[in-house]
Amino acid sequence: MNTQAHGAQPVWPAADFSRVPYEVFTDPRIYRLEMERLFRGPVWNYLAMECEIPQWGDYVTNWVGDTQVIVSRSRDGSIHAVENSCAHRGARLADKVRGNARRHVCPYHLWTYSLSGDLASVPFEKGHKGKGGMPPCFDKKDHGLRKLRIATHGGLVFGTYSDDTEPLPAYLGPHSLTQIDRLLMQRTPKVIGYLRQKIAGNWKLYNENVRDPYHASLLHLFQVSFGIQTPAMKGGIKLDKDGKNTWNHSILSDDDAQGLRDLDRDYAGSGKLMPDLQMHDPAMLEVPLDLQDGYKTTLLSMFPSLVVAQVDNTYAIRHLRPKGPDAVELHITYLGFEGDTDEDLHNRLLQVNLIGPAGYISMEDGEALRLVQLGLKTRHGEHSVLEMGGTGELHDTDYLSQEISIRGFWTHYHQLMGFEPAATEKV
Amino acid sequence: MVPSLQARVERFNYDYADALDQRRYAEWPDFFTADACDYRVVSRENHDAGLPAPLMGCYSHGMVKDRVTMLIKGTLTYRDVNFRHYITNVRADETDAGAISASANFLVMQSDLEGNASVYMVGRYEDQMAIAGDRLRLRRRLVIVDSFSIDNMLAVPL
Repeated sequence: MNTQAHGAQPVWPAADFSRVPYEVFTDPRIYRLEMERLFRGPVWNYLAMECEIPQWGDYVTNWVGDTQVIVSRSRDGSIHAVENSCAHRGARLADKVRGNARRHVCPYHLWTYSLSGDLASVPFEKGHKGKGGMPPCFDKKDHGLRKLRIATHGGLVFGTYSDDTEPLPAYLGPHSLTQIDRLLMQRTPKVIGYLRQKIAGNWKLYNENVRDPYHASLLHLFQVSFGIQTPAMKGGIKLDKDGKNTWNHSILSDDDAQGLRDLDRDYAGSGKLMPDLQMHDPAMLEVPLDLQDGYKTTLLSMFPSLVVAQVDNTYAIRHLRPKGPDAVELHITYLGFEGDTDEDLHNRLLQVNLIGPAGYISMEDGEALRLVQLGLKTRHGEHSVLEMGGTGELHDTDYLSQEISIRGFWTHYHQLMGFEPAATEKV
Repeated sequence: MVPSLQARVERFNYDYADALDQRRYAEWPDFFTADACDYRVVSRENHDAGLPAPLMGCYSHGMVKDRVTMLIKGTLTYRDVNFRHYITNVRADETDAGAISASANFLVMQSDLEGNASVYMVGRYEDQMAIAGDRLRLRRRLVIVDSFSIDNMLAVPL
C-alpha cells in the first residue's frame, strides 16, 4: 500500500468511524493523497450549473480539489471540462473566472485547443523557412489538455477523471435525486449572485459541519432565537447506500415556539438562548416558504465537495475548493428562478442575509472551523469523538441531535483513500 | 471658517470608522437617515456582472439596527479581532440642495488578540447623503468589496 510509502497512515480505531484521527486534517501527505485518490478517483465532482454557460463558448472556471478546470459549452451544445493548464509548458490558459471563448489559446506560445481539449494548432510547428519546428514524430493528438468525463443532472454539471465512476444517478442515490428534483427541477434556476468565504480549516471539516445538525441549534443561536431551526423541530437524516451522501432536513411545526421555551436547560446555562429576542425589522423572517412542503431547512450533501442547500427560502449551491490542508474556499452560487416577480427577487435579497459569510445563520461555521483547526493541530495520534445519535451501524434518523451522517462521510472517505482497515475496538 | 463639503464628508467617514473600530456599534445606525436608508455590501464580482445579491443588505433603518443589535446582544459568535479603517480618495459633490453624492476608497486591517495584523478588506464606498442641519447622514451606502473572498466571516459592517 503506497500510503505506507508516503508515511501517511493514520490509525482508525473504530470500525463504525466514531473516532477520526486528527492527522487527516493536518498532514500534507494525506492532503496530496486526497487530491489523487478522491478528487481524481471514482467520484463525481461538481463543476458548474448549466445555466451559467447557456451559449456556445461560454465558460466558467472551477476547482476539482485544488486543480483548476475550464468548463465550457461547445457549438453543438455539449459541455466539456479540461484542466486549465497548457500541454506545452503548463501555463494557465483562462485567467478570468468566467467568460466566452470559442477556443482555448495559451497566452505564452499561442498553442490553441478546441473547447473539448484537443490541440488544434502549434505556431511554427513546421518551423520557419525549413528550419526549426517540432520533430517529425510530434503528433498533436498526443498533446491535448487533460479532460474530465461529463454528466449532468437537474442542471448540475459533474465531471470525473475515473473510468470506474458509477453512472451519475446511481452515484447520487435516490434521496439526492428527489431533492435535486424538488429544489432545481420544479422551476428553472438562475444565478443571482456568488458569495465566497475563505475558511481557515480543512475541507473535510466543512463536510462534517454540513452533515452535523447537532451543532445547528447550538452554534447558530440566531436561527434558534427566531425559530428557523431548533432542537425542538421535527427532522432527521437520510443516507445513501454508501453513507457518502446525506440529506438533513427540519420541518416547521406549530408547537416549535413552546418547544423552544422548554429547552432552556439544554443550553447548559450558556445564556445564549434568547427566545424572546425581537428584530426591529423582521421582514426577512416573514417571507412565506415558496415551496409548500413545510421543510424549513434541507441540506443535501454530496461527496466529496457539493451541498445543495435550502435554508428557509434561500436556495444555494455550496462548493468546497480545498486550498491546502488547513484552508478551503466555500463558494456559494445563490439562486433565484426564471419567472421570479420583483417581490420574489426582493425577498431573495432580504433572505441572503441569512446565508453566506455575512449570514445570520451561517457566518459562524467559518469561525467554528477555524477554531477546530487551531485546536486539533498538534494532537497527533488522537481522535475526535462521534457518538451523538448512537454508534454502530449507519442508519437514517427522525431526530436531529446526531452525528451518524458524519460517520457516513468517513466510512466512504476511508474506503476510497485505501487506508488500513479500521479496528473493531475503540482505543 | 465653514468647512468645505469635502472636509465635512471626510470627517463624517472618520467618525463612522471610529464608531465601528472602537466597537460603539449602537452608534452605527445614527449615521443613516431614519426614514429610508439602504446599506449594501456587494462583491465586486457580482457588482460588475450585474448580479443583484449582496453579501449583506439592509433596506430599512430597522434592518441597519438589527445588524448591530445581533453583535451587541451576542446572538452571533464572531471572531474577536480589532479592525481599523483607512478611508481615502474621498470625493463629494452637492447634487441638489441638501443632497450629496460621495465616494471613497477604504482599507480595513484586522489585528488578532495576539497582535498579528493582516489586510481584512479593500474596497470602495459609493454614497448618497442627506444634509440634516449640521449633520450628514447616509441615505444609501453601497460598499463594493474587491476582497470578496471573505476572510473567515463578515459580522461587523464595513
